Amino acid sequence: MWPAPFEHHVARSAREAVDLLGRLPGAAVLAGGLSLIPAMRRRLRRPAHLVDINEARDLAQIDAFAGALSVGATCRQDTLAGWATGRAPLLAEALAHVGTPQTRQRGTVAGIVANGDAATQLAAVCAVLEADVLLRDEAGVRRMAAERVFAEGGVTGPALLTSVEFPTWPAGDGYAFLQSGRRAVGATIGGVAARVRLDGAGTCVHAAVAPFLRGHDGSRLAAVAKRLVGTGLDERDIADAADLAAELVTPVTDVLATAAYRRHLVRVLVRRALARAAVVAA
Amino acid sequence: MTGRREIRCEVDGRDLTVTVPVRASLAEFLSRNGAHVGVGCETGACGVCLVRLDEQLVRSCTMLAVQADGTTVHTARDAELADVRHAMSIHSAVQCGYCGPAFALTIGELTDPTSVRADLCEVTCRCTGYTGLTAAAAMVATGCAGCTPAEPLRRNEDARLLSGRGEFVGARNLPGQLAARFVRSTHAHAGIVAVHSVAAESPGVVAVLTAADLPPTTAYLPGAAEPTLAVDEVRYVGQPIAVVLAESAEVAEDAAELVAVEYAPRTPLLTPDGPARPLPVFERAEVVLDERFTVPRRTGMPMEPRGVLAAWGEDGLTVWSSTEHPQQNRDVLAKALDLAVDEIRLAPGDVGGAFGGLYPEDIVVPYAATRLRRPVKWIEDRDEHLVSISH
Repeated sequence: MWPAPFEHHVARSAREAVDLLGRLPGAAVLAGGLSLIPAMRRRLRRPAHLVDINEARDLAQIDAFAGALSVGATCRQDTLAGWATGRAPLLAEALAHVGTPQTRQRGTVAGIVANGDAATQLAAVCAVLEADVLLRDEAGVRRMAAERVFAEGGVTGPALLTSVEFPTWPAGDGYAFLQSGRRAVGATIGGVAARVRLDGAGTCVHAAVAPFLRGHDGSRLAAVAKRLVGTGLDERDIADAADLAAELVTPVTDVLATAAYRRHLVRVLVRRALARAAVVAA
Repeated sequence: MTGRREIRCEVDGRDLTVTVPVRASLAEFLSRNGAHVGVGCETGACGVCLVRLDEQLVRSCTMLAVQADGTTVHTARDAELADVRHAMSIHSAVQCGYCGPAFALTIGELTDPTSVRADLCEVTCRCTGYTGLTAAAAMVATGCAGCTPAEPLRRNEDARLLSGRGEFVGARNLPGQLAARFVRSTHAHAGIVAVHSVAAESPGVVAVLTAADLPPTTAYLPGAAEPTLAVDEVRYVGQPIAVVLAESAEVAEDAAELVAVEYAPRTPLLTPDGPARPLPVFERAEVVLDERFTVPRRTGMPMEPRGVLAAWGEDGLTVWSSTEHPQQNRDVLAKALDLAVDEIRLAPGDVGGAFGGLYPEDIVVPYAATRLRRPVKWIEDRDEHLVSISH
């Protein structure tokens, strides 16, 4: 199970990485390697060049600044999970479901986003948290919604995803992250991230619900949020929202679950997640 | 920069300066340099290939050897795990032992006895040894009270299996050996129109064998159940069609991609449905139960990939393989290769699961070794296993 031949280039800074990506056609960025290397070993991906950013120190940081948290391209999942505990609870809870403690020491947060598999935990979390990514190429830096990166199936072209930015978590928001199945590594059956905000009178003023499962593009379900905003998140509202979510998703069948089961799962998990989020917010 | 690069690192206390293929995994590099590491899935899921890289346990199948440049690597051979090995031995937390080194490394880091069950899911065991593993892990996580590292381990094989010195076929290499890689069907059912073995021209490729190259005795599994290499049709995805023999595993894999098979696809028969003819016995039976049962495809799925290493020498043929029934394989091989039984030796070694079965590769690889007069080693990868195994 050998990858097809490629050349390996070490980038010691973001600038070096961007330069290399600009002049090496068909290059891929190597960070944690947990998705890329297996795909290459299976010869599902055949980049002619790997630009290894693990030694680019300027890409490793977590920076918290006014209104946002910036997570550098080589920041490990484990590092962010430690930082997020007590500060960004939905992120911390979701990261505990990404791989195993050992793989989280190696795997990066930005790598999951750049890879763009919308059936992964962080797709739903990025959607619900309205995260952005910064993409840098020779022309400069541009900002893009992480939700869009997932919808497009990953970063394309010779750009380096230098960081993922999560808006600062507002104290008082309710949240829940639920995932079905016990599989720690690789594809999942599916799950849901949810977030709600209540005003002083207990009325929902903001809601975001995003499932992650094979067949869904990773986006927030806007109609579900609309059904919830303005309500008191009582049992009927939550059940309606869950039914609506199950209608809206377009799950597919694979070896882990049927489309029908996944649709059922969305109904159940959205209901549970909203009920839990409502309690947390209250 | 192309192809190969020199790296320096410390492996199990030895300073190594080695030129490696850039595309070699860390696991492959270690195995080629005196510190064999077993692999299970080669895609980062099963954890069998764990090693400690500097201060971190990493799956050595998902890292490149070039990324280990300047690092310190410890495999289970060298890591300070005497207490852990003892705890595992005392609690019978080792069966076939293929995953033993990875569990030893994982258990060695545990400090919280309340979470050992979750912590153990880093590594996959298929002999279902988790009860023993959980007990051993709990013992280590509570400070190893009761570990007696000065005493010998419980079973003769525990020391080698728990220190990464298991004598699995993948860990064995012979001078001058060739690597085999099978070209497999990509169709569930199809006629074979032609096999274009242009790969035979590639540098490093010694031979490409197809069914046309096999003598009649070698051409079929016992009972003519299945051709060892597909003749004019394929009946499942993964069925072997040709085998590439090359100077290294990576060259063999590259060349196997170049073997072009022309198929005439046919509609596969996927279920046993069809016009049923009631047997007379049912007409006479007092009670007839009419029920439909659905059984998913299932296999043994050993953690050790299947492997065969065969060498032809003055004493005849010697075969090391991941089999639990060496005598049966020897008898089958004698017929298939037209040799006397005492001309074939199925050599002892550790077996990482296996769960039975005799497959085309068990015949084709020894045949290639006798034909080419060079040792031939074949180790499957997990993706091959998933499509080619039955049980």
